[in-house]
Amino acid sequence: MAASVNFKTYVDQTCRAAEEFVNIYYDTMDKRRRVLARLYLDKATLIWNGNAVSGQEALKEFFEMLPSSEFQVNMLDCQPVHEQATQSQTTVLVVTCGRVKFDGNKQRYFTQNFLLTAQATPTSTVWKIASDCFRFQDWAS
Amino acid sequence: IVFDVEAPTTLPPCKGSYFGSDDLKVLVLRFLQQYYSVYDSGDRQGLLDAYHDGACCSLSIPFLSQNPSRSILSEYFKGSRNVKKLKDPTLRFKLLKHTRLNVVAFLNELPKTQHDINSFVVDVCAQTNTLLCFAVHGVFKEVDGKSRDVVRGFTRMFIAVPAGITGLCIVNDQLFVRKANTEEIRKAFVMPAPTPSSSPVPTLSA
Repeated sequence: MAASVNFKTYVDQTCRAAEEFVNIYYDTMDKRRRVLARLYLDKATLIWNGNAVSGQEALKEFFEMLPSSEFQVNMLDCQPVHEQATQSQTTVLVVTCGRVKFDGNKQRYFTQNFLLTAQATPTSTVWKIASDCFRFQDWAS
Repeated sequence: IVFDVEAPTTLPPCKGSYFGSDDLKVLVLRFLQQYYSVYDSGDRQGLLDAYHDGACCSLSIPFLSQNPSRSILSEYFKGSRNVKKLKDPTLRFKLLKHTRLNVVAFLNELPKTQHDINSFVVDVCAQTNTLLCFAVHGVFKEVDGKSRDVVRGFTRMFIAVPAGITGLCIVNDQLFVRKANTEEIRKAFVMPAPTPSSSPVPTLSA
């Protein structure tokens, strides 16, 4: 049963990483937007309501253009991504939903998902966003 | 004294599906059509072929402030994994379905459904040689039980690895089910479902 014990520990770690990430991500989004792009990998892609944005510079520009925000997350789920898909690079799927009020706009419901990867450096492990997909639940209306 | 520090208030326009390439569009739409034809068939056992041995699956619904048993999503409540509210590691682990057999057994227990393929909007979020990650947004209705004909909205994340020449094998599956909004209910199932004799790949309107 060693494998399942390890998997349980792994799931546990995944949840803690996801919880911590979500707190930091939305806090940075709302209050320190100018450093938000630093949470992304250099080659990360964001699909924002069908608009694709790739790379640090483009992401920085995109986030500057977005009105200021107040996010409220009320659901968070996460899964460890299978190693066969990630070539053994520790990766977590994070799914959130909640409400957001962008300045000058009405409050809307959203769903968002991220792939986070653990980047090991000689001294520590830093989590970065590899992909980010955001949609309003009523995007078509 | 006036300073020009006008903050932006305009959001970028919302767009339809993002596939990244025509090849991916064909691949993903063919997969979804096959997947949901089995998922909606009344017996989801056939989905065993779609999942990897070590696949994971979980379900979640929005946080409910009212009594969950009275909620319209009550059939989904007991399987719902909201890590923001569930702090017990044992329960968190239990609600993450792991291995192919457990995943399909779990899906088989969920209410029987009919998905509106024409409502689907797909975002291909990430693609590498070993991974394809995409989100499907759309509506379905229940075809059985006390919520028969109730339309619901969903977002589902699939992460798949390549299988065979053109196939996909699911390693991660996260299903989020919510109330449909008025606009979604109005538009749901207005287009006839694609018939087997029509084009093998459904076209998305958006």
